[in-house]
Amino acid sequence: MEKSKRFNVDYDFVDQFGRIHIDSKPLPTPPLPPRPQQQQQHIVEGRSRPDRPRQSEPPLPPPRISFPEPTFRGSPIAQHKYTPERAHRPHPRHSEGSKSATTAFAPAKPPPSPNKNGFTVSPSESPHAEQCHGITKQAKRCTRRVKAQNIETLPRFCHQHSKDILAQKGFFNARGTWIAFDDWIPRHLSSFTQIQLRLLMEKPIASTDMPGYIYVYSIRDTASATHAEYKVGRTNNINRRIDNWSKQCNRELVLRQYFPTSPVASSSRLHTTFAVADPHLKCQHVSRLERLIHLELAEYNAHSAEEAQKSDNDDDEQGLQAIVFADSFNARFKPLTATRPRCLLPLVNVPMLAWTLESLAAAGIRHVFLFTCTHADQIKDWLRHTHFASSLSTLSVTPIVSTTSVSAGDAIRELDAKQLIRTDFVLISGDVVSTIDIQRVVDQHKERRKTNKDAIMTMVTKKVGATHRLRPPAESPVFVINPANQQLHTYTTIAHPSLSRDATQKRVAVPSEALEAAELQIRNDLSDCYIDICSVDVLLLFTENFDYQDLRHDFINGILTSDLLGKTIHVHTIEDEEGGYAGRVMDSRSYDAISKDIISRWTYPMVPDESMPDADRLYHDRGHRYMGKEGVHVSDTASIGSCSVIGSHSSIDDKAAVNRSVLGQSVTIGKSTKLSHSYVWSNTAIGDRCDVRESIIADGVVIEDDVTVSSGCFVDQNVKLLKGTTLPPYTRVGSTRWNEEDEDEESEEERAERVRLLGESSTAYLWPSDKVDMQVDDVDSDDEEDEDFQLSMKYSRIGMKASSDTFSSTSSLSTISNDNSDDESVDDGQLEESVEGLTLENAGKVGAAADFAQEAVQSLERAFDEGHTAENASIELKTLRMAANVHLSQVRKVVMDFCLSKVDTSKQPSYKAVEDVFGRWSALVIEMTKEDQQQTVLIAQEYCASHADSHENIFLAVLRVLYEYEIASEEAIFGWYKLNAAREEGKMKTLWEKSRRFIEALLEADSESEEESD
Amino acid sequence: MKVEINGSQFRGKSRTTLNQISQLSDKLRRRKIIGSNNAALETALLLRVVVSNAKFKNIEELLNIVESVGQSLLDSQPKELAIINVTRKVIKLIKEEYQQALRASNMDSSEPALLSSFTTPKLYDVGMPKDQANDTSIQTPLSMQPRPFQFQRTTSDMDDFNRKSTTVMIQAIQEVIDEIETTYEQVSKNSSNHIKSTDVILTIGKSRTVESFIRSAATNSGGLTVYVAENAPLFNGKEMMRSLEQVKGVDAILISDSTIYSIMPRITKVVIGTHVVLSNGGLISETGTYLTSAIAEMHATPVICVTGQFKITSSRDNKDSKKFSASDYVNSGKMIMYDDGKVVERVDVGVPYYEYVRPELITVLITNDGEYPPILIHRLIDEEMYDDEE
Repeated sequence: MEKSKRFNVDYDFVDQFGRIHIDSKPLPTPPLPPRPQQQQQHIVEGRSRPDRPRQSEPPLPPPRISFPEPTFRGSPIAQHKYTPERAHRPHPRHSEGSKSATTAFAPAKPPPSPNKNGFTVSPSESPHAEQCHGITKQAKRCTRRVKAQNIETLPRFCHQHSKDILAQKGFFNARGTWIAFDDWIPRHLSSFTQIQLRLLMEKPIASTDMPGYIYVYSIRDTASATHAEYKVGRTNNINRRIDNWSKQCNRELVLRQYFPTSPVASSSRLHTTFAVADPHLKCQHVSRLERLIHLELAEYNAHSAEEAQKSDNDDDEQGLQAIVFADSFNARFKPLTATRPRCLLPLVNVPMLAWTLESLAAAGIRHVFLFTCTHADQIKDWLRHTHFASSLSTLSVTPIVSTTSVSAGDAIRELDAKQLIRTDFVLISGDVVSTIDIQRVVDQHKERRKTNKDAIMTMVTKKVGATHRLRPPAESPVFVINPANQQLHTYTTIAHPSLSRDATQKRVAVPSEALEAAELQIRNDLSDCYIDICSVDVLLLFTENFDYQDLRHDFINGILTSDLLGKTIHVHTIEDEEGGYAGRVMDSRSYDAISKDIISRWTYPMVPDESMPDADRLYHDRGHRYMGKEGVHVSDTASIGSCSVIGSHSSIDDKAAVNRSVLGQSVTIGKSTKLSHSYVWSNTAIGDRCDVRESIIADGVVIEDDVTVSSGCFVDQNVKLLKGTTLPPYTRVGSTRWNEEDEDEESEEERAERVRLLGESSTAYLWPSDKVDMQVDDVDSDDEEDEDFQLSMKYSRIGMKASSDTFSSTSSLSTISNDNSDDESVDDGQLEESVEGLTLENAGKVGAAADFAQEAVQSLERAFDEGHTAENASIELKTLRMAANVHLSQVRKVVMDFCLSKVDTSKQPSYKAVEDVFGRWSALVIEMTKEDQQQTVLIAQEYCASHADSHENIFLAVLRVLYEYEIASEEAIFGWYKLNAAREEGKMKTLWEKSRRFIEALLEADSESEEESD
Repeated sequence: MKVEINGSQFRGKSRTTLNQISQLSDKLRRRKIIGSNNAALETALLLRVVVSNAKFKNIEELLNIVESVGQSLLDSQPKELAIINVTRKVIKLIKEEYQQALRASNMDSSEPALLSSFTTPKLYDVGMPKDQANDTSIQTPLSMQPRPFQFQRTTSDMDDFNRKSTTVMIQAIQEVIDEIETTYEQVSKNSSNHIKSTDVILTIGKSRTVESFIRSAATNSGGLTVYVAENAPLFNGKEMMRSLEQVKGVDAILISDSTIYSIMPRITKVVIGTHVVLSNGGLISETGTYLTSAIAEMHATPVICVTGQFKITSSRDNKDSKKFSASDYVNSGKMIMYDDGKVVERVDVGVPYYEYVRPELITVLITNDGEYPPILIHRLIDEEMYDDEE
């Protein structure tokens, strides 16, 4: 069965389709005249042609002039893409054409019958070899085996007998007319094809062979740069036939040419989409003609029949699939998301999920699995009412509901369990806006997979620069990429140095094998688009490693740091504007950023005034002002600033000012109210003289007169803000109470705060911003320091601008410990500098340094308390160092600091106290610090300087002990003395000055000993 | 009258037709099909499918279906006004076709006569060059057509008509398709009447019609100097330059937009393309065209606008921007780089793609169907293209 199936395919393309597939490699043809001329010539011949077949009836010559030549050879051609069995099996119903139609289809599966020579050529017996059909001089059958091609029922010949046949010049037809082969068969064809044509021409014509037409149509929209799809067939009514086909194929077909062409109808048209055939002018023996044409065309096709089959298989796939996470698994938008899913929050008046689905549909994705956890019903309900639910949509969306998943990892494991995905897929978050040609990225991914089976994932990133509104300032992604193959070696996030105290100490670990690459890029200018092209392996990996929760921190780092898995992740970077836009709404800050990008048309053609069929109809005015097409009322005295969106049926009263804000449908703005950088969803009413800044006001909200809403506030749906209310920055007002685990009752304190802010009679509740943010997020970031995390939360909020003035105001936090770190504001250049300054280390974990310090101190503590020997303590420290893979300088610092902290000067004189500690542990200290003694002295000085109250006076003693116990050599101390770092202003300077006495003493001793030796 | 498009209006596998409608409107909306020519061609091809598969009891139903399809396409992309022009043209031709058939059946009610009377002559119309075909339609005495248009419903003829008329109507649509496809050749046919070898041409931006016009002019005159303004920030003048370079006999020179003024004195003719021709003779065309035309006016250089007839729309002008906002603002990335975070945050950029050009600035419009001064465009629309009721 399998074999006969393969035969079917082959026969189909010869008999039903001129499935022509020509490589761009030119055939050995005589140089062709330019196209227009070719067509001209064709028409001329077409005109003279019709008479010819009637005169010389029996052997119908292959019409060399016919259609294929001008079109097919001019542009490289193609195969018929869909499997004929699938698309064309049903026969045309029309009775008139049925006879010819059936004959056309009949050879689809010929019975392996004995041919005229009495030999059975069974495909199952000898699929690759066949006996030559030639007869030797001894009147015996030639015994040479020839390669069978499966496409021909005609006999095949070995090279010798082929020559014999080709030697003949022509033959006499049934009427006795001499037909010369050269008149009809182009010499550039392969000898095989020539023989086949000759044999077929010589055959007598069947009596059932009726007159008719030959037609060629192409299939619209399937042509690519290298391939086009054509069918050549015969019929006795062209238009009906084409109609039949187009109905069966569900495609639009374009009639390219037909034969015989009426001389009247022929004009220089490009597409002859509608045939105007002359009923009196039919081609005789059209079946034979069709056969000959197909034989000749098969020559062109044979080159890439294999390839054609392959792409047939590819086509069997349902097209590209995508998994969309409707859930974000965090609570950054609460309380707005308390009663509805985050992906349905409006982004420039269109739900975020609609943006994502539209992005995917435009990128040619055919199927989406929409993964929902919370509020699944609402999402499904919404989906039902969008155009994506229509059967006509090119994108089909299958919602998958899981109530148990609490992280992206869980979700993927569940998807794997369902076994829905079998091919490469696109993993995307349900809040991404993208205009990227994802198909191209997928193609690259597939190409890479061909050579590297371990390339399981391609992340899409966009180049945006170091400080950009698309990049979260507190957790900006840093990629270490090998530019040669785009392989990702390290992925981490850093905070802007001005925001975080230890940003400069954040280390980026690069595996040692990556350093073998000729070039390595550390990129801090990319924005993560959260569009990942994944292979099925990704699903498996999640299932195998059930502790992976987050896609980025857990999965990416898990894959990159694991030597065992040996999988690689690659990065596709969109460098220019042509590549498209992509951004993800992660938090309210990026909500603001992406809204602004959409409004200023960075996402073109996905812009508010078109692109969304279900959305409010807006028109675009200059200055990026978008107005609803229906019922917008704007007072003459009101001012609408640039980059604003006003939804339909909204009204803006006298002297109101709307600046860079988005208003949904049916929003009313009262007199003299100011709105800036704010997002007001639909059906909200804002009273007179209000001031709303950088906030999100949900739908159905009523804000009475004289209300002030400061930066970063969220006001939940249906909340009523009473007259005169003033919301401080970053306040969140919910319509329901926030429940933190077990507290059911509203505490006194809480109530008092609520009444103070919202007024006695308010029914709204305050949500504590900080706690809300932390609520779910801590699942995937428990190992991060709280401070860091709070910082990132803080900077994820709308209104918290990542502008440089904010940075400079917070730069007092900055501890960039470079030599010139004064209070100057941090600008781009400095940021990039500090990124370059990230320490590169061979293999090791990010954040291990801090852990090491802690553990090392504990270990030393134990050693001191329990009286271990110095050797044991040093071994323990070394082990720790190995495990954490930290630099020696780190160890030195820990040991010195610890020892100095143990010096107790309260009881004994300073020298004695210091000697107590260092004398006992000198072996350990020497072992640990011997590589750079100069540095050791500096560390001691730094420690004394920073603990001035207790240690300022013992520094000389320390120096002496270090010298005496040979922890620091004479040269090291002199070297230290000359260091700039040792002479810094402040305490360091005083200590340095104090040490002069000791240095002088040393110098004296030196010279003395020299003198002595003399 | 607008009707809801749904499966019940189409024969056989109605989904196929509906799919094609929705796919085309998606493509238009997502800007996969850009430009009047492409949009017009795709619309005509779609309408052919629609008509051949439509189920209708009488001619009004068919016309309603066609109009609704055209309207839904325009809704999905209001900036491509050629869609509605093509739709109207198709409607007009269907009506004519119907009228002709009706007359034939009134004259001779026997069935074969009906068939032959409107198939035979039409067959040859299709094959004829455009101007001849037009002649025949002009020859049809207008007095014979009852106006205002009335549909006479004769019971048995109607069914008969349904069955057989589709073929004729498809032929009518085919005429439209052919017209669009041959626009370039038809427009450039008479280029030698306008351009001589001594002429120095200036053009701006990229237009396939202009390209074919210049190509033909260069062939006829044996050599031509063409200045191409690059049209920043779209820079499609560079593309134009690239394709003109291939043309034999054309000496193409790329200039920056700022030099248009200084180069104008040595220009003898300005040739521009357009997106849409408005009924007052004004244009909506690529930005930069206004500048070029205004400078040309100062120097009294003639401005030739080459366009297909399907771009001529009955809309008056673009003052009523709410109704059709043909001025399209494209990706701001043409002006500044998105990766410059500080600039992006503080600067608003608008890159308009189209602009309005006053009719006074245009000397002549060369269409595939003859040449008109801008002032006569409204008459052309009134008389030739659409029905009064539009």
